[in-house]
Amino acid sequence: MSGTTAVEGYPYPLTPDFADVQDAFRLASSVDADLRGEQAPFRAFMGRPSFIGRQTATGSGFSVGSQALSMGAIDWDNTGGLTAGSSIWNQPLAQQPSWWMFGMTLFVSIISGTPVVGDMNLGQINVSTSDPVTGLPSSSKFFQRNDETNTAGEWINMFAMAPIYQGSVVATLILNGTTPKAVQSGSRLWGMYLGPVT
Amino acid sequence: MVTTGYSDTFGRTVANGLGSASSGQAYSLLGTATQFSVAPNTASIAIASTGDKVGYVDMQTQNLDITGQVAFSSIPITNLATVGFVGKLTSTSNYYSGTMMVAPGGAVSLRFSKVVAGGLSTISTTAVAGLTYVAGTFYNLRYQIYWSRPLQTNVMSLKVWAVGATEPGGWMATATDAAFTDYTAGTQVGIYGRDESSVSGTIITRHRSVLARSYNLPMPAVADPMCYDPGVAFPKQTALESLADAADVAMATIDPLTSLAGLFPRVRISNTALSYNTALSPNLTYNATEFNIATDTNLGYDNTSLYLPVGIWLVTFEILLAEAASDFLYVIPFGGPSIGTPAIKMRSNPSQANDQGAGGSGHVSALTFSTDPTTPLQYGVSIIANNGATTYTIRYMALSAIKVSDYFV
Repeated sequence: MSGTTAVEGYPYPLTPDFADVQDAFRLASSVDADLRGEQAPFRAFMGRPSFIGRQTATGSGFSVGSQALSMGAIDWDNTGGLTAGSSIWNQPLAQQPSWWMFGMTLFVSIISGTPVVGDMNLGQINVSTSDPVTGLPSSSKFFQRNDETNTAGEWINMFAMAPIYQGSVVATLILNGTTPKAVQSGSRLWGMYLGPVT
Repeated sequence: MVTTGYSDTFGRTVANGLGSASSGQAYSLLGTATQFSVAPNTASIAIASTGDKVGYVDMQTQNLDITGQVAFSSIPITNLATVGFVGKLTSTSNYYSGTMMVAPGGAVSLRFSKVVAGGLSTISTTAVAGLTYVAGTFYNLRYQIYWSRPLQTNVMSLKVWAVGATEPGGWMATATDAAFTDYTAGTQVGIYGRDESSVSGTIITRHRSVLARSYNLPMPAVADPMCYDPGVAFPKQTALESLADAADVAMATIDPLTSLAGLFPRVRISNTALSYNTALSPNLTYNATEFNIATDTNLGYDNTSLYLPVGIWLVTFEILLAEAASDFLYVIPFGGPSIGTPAIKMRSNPSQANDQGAGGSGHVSALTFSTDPTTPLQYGVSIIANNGATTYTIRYMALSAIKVSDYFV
């Protein structure tokens, strides 16, 4: 090799050289390495992990306590973390500690009677994670409170952003009142990967 | 050497035919040579007789993204005339075309067609709203066709815009067709014109500044001697050096940050001081585009909705209501893959407890997905009043979406 290009420095033989097959190999390897480097962010973008789980049947009524959003249908999941009929999303085990954004659309359905103004409706996203060094588990709870007015059932939209590692997420409706209510069919839990924890 | 890529500035004069393109390949013709000519900067095709007229070259790659300026010398009187490009051509009996079509009176449409075993058929036609063609005017036409492995079909797109104007984001027409797979499609590409009338006329189509996007890397032809031989001017070294130079130039033009920005399609539309009557229409309307980058959303055709192409999208809606009589409003996004779209319930009277905070403001975000390459997901927002008054003033509202991932990964 006796020459390189001006910008990227690709190797090539000059005409006085006695070139051999290694010249073509070196050039191809160099271009290949550059292309892989350029394409890396695109490939990462195209495969951004995300999921959408949806409850398909309204839960049974309760007035005090909690009820998890059960994802009877998987609208979309390229994380492999959802299981139809389950209420939990599991982070891919191989994923490094990462920032995720989670969202929940929780429809609170009146099962019977008339809603009482002031009854507590509380949405909760519970994010569990493990310490990457010690493996010790911990959890963070995010809440959105939307107490009953008189509108025949409330809707709760909430979001949470958290760093997780080998973690999991559960969405829950918490009630403290007198009217039986439940998580309504159509409620959703979703999440999308934001980036690595650095 | 085999020449790859295709571009032509038509900077030559040819009486009968098209000569050789700027990229080096000699044109082959479908039609009579006397119907084709080149004057400096412009190629002309006399299309006034039955059948497609095509000038084509081999660019060595099937997938195509080609842009050029096109025009008609006159507007057809009795039938349609088309001008544009062909792609994936294997022979004059098998190819795709993407064209701008003008009807008597000047109405413009974008059309995808195919010729299979010599038989012409239209894949789809999409009217371009608000554009009336004036004879002799050049427009930019961009035609893209590529084989989608996940979809197992060709995805084709078209857009047209005035010369000198900024290229619009997204596409104006999209279609799919699998008549030619990645195993059977050709690598030839070219310019195209057709007169649909059976009556001989005088229409001439014109092309300028045609460029197929390609890095145009030179490849040694199979006949090149690849062994070292000083007697034949060191062909191996020369081939490698020219390849290295071309790769150097091509890589230097790639800007990953710019390209990555283009891969995050995003759009935001809004309205301010909107007087809104729920009795007239439940669908909110928008009058401003805050940004629209690399999406297929055609706001010019519908001011109530976003049209989201295939992918995973994060959609957000924000609203700020002026004070009004106490009432409940249901703010419900429509569209989405199935029931259960996110929603907010709010009051317009700040003296009452508000479901989403004081002052009549609301916000909803949700992840959604679009799966049909031919029918983008329509996403808009409706307001339904629970009772009483039907007229509200919206101080500000905005509907935005950003693609966060491709669907097929």
